[in-house]
Amino acid sequence: MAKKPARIEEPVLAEGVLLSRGFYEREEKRVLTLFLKGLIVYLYTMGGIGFYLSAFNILYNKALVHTVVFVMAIFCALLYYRLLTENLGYLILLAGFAGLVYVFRKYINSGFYAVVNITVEDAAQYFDNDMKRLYNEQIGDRYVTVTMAALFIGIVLDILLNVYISRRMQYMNALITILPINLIPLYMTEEPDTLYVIMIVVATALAIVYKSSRHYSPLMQVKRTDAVFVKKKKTRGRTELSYVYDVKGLAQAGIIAGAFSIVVVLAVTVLKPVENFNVGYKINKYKEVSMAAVGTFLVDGFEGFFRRGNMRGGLRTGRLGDVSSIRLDHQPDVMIEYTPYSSSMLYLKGFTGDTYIPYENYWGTNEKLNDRSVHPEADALAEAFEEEKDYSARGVMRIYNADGDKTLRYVPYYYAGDEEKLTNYDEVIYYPLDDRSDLVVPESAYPEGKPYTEDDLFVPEENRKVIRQFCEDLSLDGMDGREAVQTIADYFQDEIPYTVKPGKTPKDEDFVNYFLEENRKGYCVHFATSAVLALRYVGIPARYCEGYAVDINQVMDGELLENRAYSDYFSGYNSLGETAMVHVNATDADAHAWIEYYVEGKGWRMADVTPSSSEEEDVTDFWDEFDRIMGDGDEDNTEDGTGVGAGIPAMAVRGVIYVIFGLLGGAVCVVILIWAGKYVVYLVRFAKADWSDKLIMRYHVLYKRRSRRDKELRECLNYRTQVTYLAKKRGDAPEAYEWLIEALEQAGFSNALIDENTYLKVSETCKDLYKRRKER
Amino acid sequence: MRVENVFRVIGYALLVGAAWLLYWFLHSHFIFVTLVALVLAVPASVLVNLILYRFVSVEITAAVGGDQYGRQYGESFFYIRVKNPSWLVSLDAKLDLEISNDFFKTEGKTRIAVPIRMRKGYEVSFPVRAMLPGIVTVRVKRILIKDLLALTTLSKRVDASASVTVLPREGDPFQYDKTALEIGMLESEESSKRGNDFSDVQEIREYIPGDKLMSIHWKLSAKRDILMVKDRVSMSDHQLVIVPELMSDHAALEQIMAATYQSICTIIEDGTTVRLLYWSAGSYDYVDTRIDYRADLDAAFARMFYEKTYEANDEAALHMAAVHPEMKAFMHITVDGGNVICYIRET
Repeated sequence: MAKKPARIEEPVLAEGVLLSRGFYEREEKRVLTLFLKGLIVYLYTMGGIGFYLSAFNILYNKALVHTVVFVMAIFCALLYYRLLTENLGYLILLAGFAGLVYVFRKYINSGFYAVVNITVEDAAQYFDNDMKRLYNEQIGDRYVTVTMAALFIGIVLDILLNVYISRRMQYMNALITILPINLIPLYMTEEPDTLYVIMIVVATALAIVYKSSRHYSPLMQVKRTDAVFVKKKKTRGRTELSYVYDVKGLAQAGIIAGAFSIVVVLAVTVLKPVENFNVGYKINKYKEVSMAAVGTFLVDGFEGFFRRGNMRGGLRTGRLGDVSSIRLDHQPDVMIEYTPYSSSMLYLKGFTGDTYIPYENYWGTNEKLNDRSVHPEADALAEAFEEEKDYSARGVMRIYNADGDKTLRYVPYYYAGDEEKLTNYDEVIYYPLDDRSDLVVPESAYPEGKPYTEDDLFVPEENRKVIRQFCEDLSLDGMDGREAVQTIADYFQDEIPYTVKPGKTPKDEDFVNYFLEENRKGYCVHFATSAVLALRYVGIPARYCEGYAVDINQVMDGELLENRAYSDYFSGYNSLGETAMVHVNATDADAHAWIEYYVEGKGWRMADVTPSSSEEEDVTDFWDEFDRIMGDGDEDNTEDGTGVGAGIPAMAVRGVIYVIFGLLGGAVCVVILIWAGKYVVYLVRFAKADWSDKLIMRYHVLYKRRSRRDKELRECLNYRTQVTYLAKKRGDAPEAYEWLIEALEQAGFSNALIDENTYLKVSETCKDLYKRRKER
Repeated sequence: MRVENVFRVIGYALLVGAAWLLYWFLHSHFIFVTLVALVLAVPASVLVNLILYRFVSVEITAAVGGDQYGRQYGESFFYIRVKNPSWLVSLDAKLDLEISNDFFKTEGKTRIAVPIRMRKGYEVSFPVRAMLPGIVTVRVKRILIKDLLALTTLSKRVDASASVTVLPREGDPFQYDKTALEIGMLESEESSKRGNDFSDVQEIREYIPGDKLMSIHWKLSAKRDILMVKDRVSMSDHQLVIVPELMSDHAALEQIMAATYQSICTIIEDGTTVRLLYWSAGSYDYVDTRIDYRADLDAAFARMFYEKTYEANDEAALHMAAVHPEMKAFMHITVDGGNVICYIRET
């Protein structure tokens, strides 16, 4: 917060010779000076943004971004006009900005992702790197979203750089703020448009010249005043007086510096064109050394350097425990193209756990994928389809393993093919199972007539006590598979909350035992693992499964593939009617664990025992966090993407209003505090002052009050002219106030103090004199 | 030309070095352009300053607001004009000033930083409040011009000065013991007022600037073709003579000046002519001035401010018997015990 201006004393030039206060009381055109600073902020901000976007040839609405950034830069600079405008202006600006950003957050997010994706794509090409991972842009119109993101970063930079430039002309800080990100295109030999080179060079030239002169900003003594001159510290017995800033001088110096910069940039560009600049140039050997690391960083982010292992979302392939929370990147792991056939979840199985290893906390699995497949069930469903039985159907699904675990193969229920032969991109045939279908799978259909193995009933000794207690509590013994699964699911739903932040399983603790006995909160793997062991304990064969579960809402939000014929991809019963082919991305947030259990005569069925989340939506980014704070995280109904701000939840709007009003209230309090603080300081100073100073302070208050409305009085620069003017105005003879003038001059200039009686007499007379009366 | 600030030069060199390092590493056109601009900016800035240096000149004038003299505690204005007919600019030029009161022998140095604009230069209005009477002089000794990057400074010698004579403040009417003075005042006063002259001519001599017109011996002047004046000795034993002591002690001198000025003001407002007699330590003689009007008084003080002051508090009174034996009594204004005293002193 800016400091209050200090009272200016009359400095002694020589003994008996003072520099009159009138020397300081001339006014500078502060607005124009602030405009110049705002111009530098604009050049830096727009130069920095345009630099990056033009280097990567990213399209955006230049006119709009230039205009808004310029207006905001000038506005931010003008906030320094007065202490009040600075304090209040920033609060209002930030409140308004936060509100706007909240409304346009999807556009801004998408714009950022668009810029990042373009950068990653260029980087992947430049570094010849295949590790490409793109961010999901919620809104596809990059021209709009990049413009919004540019506006957002422009306003943020305006606010930030304004602090650097308007206060201290800290051009190094400004350069450090805008240049590092712009080194990315330079590293990849992408050069910006000449316009943005000129903007940055001109801004730097102006800032260096102004900073070097040290006459760009009010100094401490006269902060927030318009004084032209200020007294500096006395050095070597010499009084130093300095002009504060001179807008004409600054403008003229700026013109010279700017013209010089433009001439140099254009001359160099003509003599050494950008296009030919790197012709014949051999890459720096140190840059060559760094390229692998930089390439990894640009294409894959920090994760390229660190294996995040257990922390990362996605499939755990049976590894449990040692996890305190999951970090989701919401990037597509598996891409699916299929025709929706049910409002239920779509499950893609990738991993099947056979044997639970206690304390080591993982699911062991059979290396042969086909051994854990549900081929007999699929075959039965295929047969039913061929026979055109009720509720039977057949679908074709395209599955692309983009960023999922490449060692796994992802297949839907029920897939009959050879999983060993699948690759990362396959088209598979599947037979969905409707609950109403009367599917019969005889034991003979299974290899060697055994639908399950001993592993499917194995419960480790270390877990038996806890599982027994669990089964007894739920009275699972004697129940059939469906009933037991439903009982377990209900229990989990009612008794054990779902969370992605369950806390770490302590060392030397078993994952299942700790979950069921102590922690009693967890996510899908906790529930699935416990359910499998419980079912096995009561004699129901069960298996642990991992894969991706895609919600129908995600499917609805997927990309419609209109050029694909429905009949080519689905036939048979479809509970949703004739749908269409859609493209859906399954991200790590869709990674899931569930169970398969065996029902005699009916085969292996899958079941999801994970309770629905009782927590608020997982906080994954700033806007989710903002939503959470605002008290309404439900944003599904705003996802139409057709109108800006349309359908914003009422709670969120109310929240924005609360925030704005809260900030405004805070601003009002700050203003009141500033004024009250001023008055308190005055009272304290008055109480401590001697009678001479008291008289001067009292007189100053009277003068200030009256001179606000009396222009002629403002032109009277000393006590004599002021008192004479007022006396004449009242119709009194000025001579009658000679004693008053002398007393004031004595109080103001002499070392001889006045006494209390003089103070009282003079202040009373002054009070009377300064009252506005009609001329007699 | 001298390097202004070594740290600034080092800082600028580091900036250039950082740009070069980036260029070496990235071989970017943008960095190359920036590097060229940074390197060329140094000679360009110095060159601009050299040209500007040739064109810059300084003038100073004084004004006291329509009056011939300034007044103690009042403001006097000095206008310093830095002239620049060129199209070049400096944002930091420093004017070295010497401010002095020649009568009180006080002196101070001040440095003012000003900008030098294109074509018009800059004008500083420099209002000075003189707390002591005397001759206040502001002298511009030199101007230091910094280049736009503030790497070098050029110093140009200037010798421009302006002065303002500051008279003591006008205070309350002076209260003095009239009874003792009126004995010797009446005759001269009356004779002066009537136009008669009861005094004898003591000596006829050549005219000295400052002599009264009425003292000129017109007939003799016409004969000799040179102005001659009559030095008269009053026939009266008592004359209205005021003798202030020009003491070198500042506090004493300020009080004596104020008292002398006020007393003469009061007396001439009463219509009485005053004879101001002060001791000139430089010429080792009295300077004798007849004062009838305020203008005479101001002119007499303006002359007096060129005198040298001395230490003793009765130097002027001591020489009276020897130099002016005919003077029987005079008003002596001096300081005793730190306070000014005005009393009738008989020789």
